[in-house]
Amino acid sequence: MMKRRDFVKLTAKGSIIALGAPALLDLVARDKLAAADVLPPELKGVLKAALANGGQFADVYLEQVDRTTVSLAGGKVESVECGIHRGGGVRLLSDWKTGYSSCDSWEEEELKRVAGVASQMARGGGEPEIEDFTRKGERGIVAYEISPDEIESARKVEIATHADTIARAYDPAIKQVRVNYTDEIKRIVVANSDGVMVTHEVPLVWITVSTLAQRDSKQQSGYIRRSAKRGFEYAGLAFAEEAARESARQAVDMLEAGEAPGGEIPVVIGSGGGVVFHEAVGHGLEADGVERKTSFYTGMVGTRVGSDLISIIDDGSIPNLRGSFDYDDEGTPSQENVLIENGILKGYIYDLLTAWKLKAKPTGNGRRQSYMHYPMVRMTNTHLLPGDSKPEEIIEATPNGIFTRHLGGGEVDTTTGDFTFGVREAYLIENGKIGAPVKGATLIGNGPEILKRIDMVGDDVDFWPGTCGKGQWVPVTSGAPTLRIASITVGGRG
Amino acid sequence: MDAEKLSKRLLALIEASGIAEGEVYVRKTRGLEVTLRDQDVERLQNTDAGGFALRLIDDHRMGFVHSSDLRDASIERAVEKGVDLARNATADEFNSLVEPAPAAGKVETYDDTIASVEYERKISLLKDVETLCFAYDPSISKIADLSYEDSEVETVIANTKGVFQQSSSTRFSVGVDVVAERDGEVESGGERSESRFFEDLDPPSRLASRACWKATSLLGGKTLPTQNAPVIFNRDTGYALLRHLFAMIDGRNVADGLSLLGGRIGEQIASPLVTVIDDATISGAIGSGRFDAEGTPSGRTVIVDGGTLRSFLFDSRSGRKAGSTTTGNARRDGFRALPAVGYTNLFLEGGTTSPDEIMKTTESGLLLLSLAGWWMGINASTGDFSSGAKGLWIEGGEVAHPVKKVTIASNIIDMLGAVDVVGDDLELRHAASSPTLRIGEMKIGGV
Ligand SMILES: [Zn+2]
Repeated sequence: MMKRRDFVKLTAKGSIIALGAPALLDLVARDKLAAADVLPPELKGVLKAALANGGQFADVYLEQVDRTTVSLAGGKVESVECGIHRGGGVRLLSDWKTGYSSCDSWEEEELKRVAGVASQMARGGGEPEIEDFTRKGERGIVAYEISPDEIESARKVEIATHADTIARAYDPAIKQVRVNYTDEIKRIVVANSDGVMVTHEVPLVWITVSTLAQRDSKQQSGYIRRSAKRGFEYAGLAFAEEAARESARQAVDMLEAGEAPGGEIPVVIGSGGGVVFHEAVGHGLEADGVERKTSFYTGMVGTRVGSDLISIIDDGSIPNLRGSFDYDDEGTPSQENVLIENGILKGYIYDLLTAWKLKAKPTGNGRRQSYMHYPMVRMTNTHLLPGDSKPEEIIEATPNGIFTRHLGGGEVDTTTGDFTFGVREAYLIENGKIGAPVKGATLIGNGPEILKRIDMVGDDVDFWPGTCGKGQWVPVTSGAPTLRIASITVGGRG
Repeated sequence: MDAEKLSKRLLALIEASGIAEGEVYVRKTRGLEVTLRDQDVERLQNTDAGGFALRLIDDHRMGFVHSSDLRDASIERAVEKGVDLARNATADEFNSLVEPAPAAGKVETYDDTIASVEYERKISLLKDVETLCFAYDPSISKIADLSYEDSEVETVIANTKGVFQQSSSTRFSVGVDVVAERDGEVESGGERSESRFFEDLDPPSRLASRACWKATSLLGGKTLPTQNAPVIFNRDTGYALLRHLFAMIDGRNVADGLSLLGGRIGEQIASPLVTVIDDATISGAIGSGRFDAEGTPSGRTVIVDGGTLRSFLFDSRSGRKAGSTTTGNARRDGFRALPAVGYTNLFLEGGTTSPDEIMKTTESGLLLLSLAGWWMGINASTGDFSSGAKGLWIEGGEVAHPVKKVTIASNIIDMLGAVDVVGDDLELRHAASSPTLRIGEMKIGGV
């Protein structure tokens, strides 16, 4: 029902879909070597099989994910989870048509079989050359110190348990806590018929703390997530503690919340609210929608799409952020891409296919959920550059309205540009001061319109982690400083 | 991979490991996805995937392992790893596996024509949808997405207490999203059909006309003054109520004290017109199955009966924890996820009034055609409901004008209490289905 709608899901359960788990094996280390030293000739054979019926391009993607998850509720560890996911996918492009097939194996024979399936999309025309591989080295963008593979599960249980203890100790009103701790190492190999070959290791750590506060007959929930493409060095007790305390604070502070107002009013988005730009702008600048001419930003490069205060970047090369990597899932290096500069639309983001179709350069935005998924154009770390205002000046300059401290998820219809996003924690602004908490606010608007209504931008950028859904799920962040939208429709009950 | 053989081998390894309880879940999927554009296949994807998951429990401590790596050594290491994880976990007295129980009667979920329906037939279905969409109205300018999918899933669930369940099911779906443009204004509309049997898919004419109608009827829409007014949910939007309600009847939330409805069994929580049922035993329905994701035979659960709360939905763990018992509602998102509580075919029972009659008897109000962001606020503890909305403004029982740029807000319990008429048009087309219904009053946010 929501297929074309793209959305960032920031809720706890099910947000990180599908992929597997952790630290099984010494086999891993051996396979890692194999990826680097043994596979190239075999992969060439796989690409050859994919191109056997013709076509212009083929690539093979191998992936292994090792993941550990600890789930805790009601003070008890519900489970400790470990998984290993290993498989490969082969893609063929022929006259812009895509054939894709995957298997749960790195065996040459199996990969050749699925290459044969993908090759069925070929529209004939001789067998193209396969270039010799030039291997690209690691760039260190997601470098890590301690591999979570090497840490005993008992220590991860301790982290989750510590988060629970801290959240409960925050206030007697905290009655329920759920904690989810996950770490993973993903190892990929990408090789294509143009001779690109990449091996890449990507760590990820992720914790969510959900809390419920109850006082008298009132209850409110808190929800905080923290994530980075880092190793276990990021995942210490302090990391759990900070997330737990913030989640508990949010639930307790919102206990006395009244209903948010409804109607068009000024809204100050606290720093970290980059989901606004992810939805209002980012999805519309993904080149697949531009190529199909279904995006509202089609054909608008060089034109004014926002106020002077608006400069938006998508950058997969920022060290260790949740949306970062050395190479995307097609082997293209990540890079900084300027989408909008001082209100003028500068460009789109591309994967290989859309770049070729639109005669542009790939931007390092070809991503997939797993080896079972073909690459698509996706965002990485999308952020609004800071302005000159101090956050407190922005509040003081706003006689009345709403201040949002934490946004929830968002959703956009990329055809119309109409977006919605949820608000987790918000406060009234009265006479230029932050006042009482309010709940139940949803913000709706139109991407191009909202960019023109942003009239103050702060100097305090913060990045928040999310998981972006577009038929496939990928980890992202979005960043923004404190900013003011002169007026936007708020869907509260008050 | 032979699912039955693999599960027996894993079970034998578990038994040899000396752990107290163990469960094997094996899942094998074969899938096809085709995207069409300009009467030609744009993308063709074949998926062949599978793997297993183990839940190993020792002294109420649980380890969970899953893997798609089926090499012998890896399988053995997975069992060892699971045992190790369980022994390093801490105890939760509610961790345990299910006992064997007699299977439910016959529930049809497998279409044995899946292998024989020609590829060309699937493509021509898509081609017809595309042609019919462009023929619907000159304002239909583009098709944003048009795709066909089918899949076949084989599952085995076995545990050391003697459960051994095996089943196969099929699923077909076709979806289309269209763009309508007029005088520089753009709107979108979509329709999706899903079924267990190929022949049960909606015909191209229905898919095309429903998608195009939604997009074109929103053209020329305007916002409303902020106000309180009746809101009519139709079959395309009513599922949002059920999805919000589900969070509160999800046994896990109930057991953890997170549901607003916890402890309220037997109380009137909704209008007498509201009856909500979850039923996994309906042959051919998209959420049906003979047993759930732990091997418990499926059933039918009356959740709300004439407005009175009768039951929650439980898997075995949440059932135990809440002092109740499983309702056969364990669900897994593939083999990589732990079982959680899910609904099967969740529906609000139909009433006796036609949708037309409901509109005609609405003095003024909003007929909702599409919601955006309705899922973001789902919260079992507060029940707050807030969403972006588009639809048609009704005045004197007739459509006055399309509506956009508004929000609707209320609380799910207030909404269920304010249902004042229920339509006779329930169809179980998706896993959560609602007939047309009217909520006496909601807050509409506009200008
Ligand atoms: Zn997104």
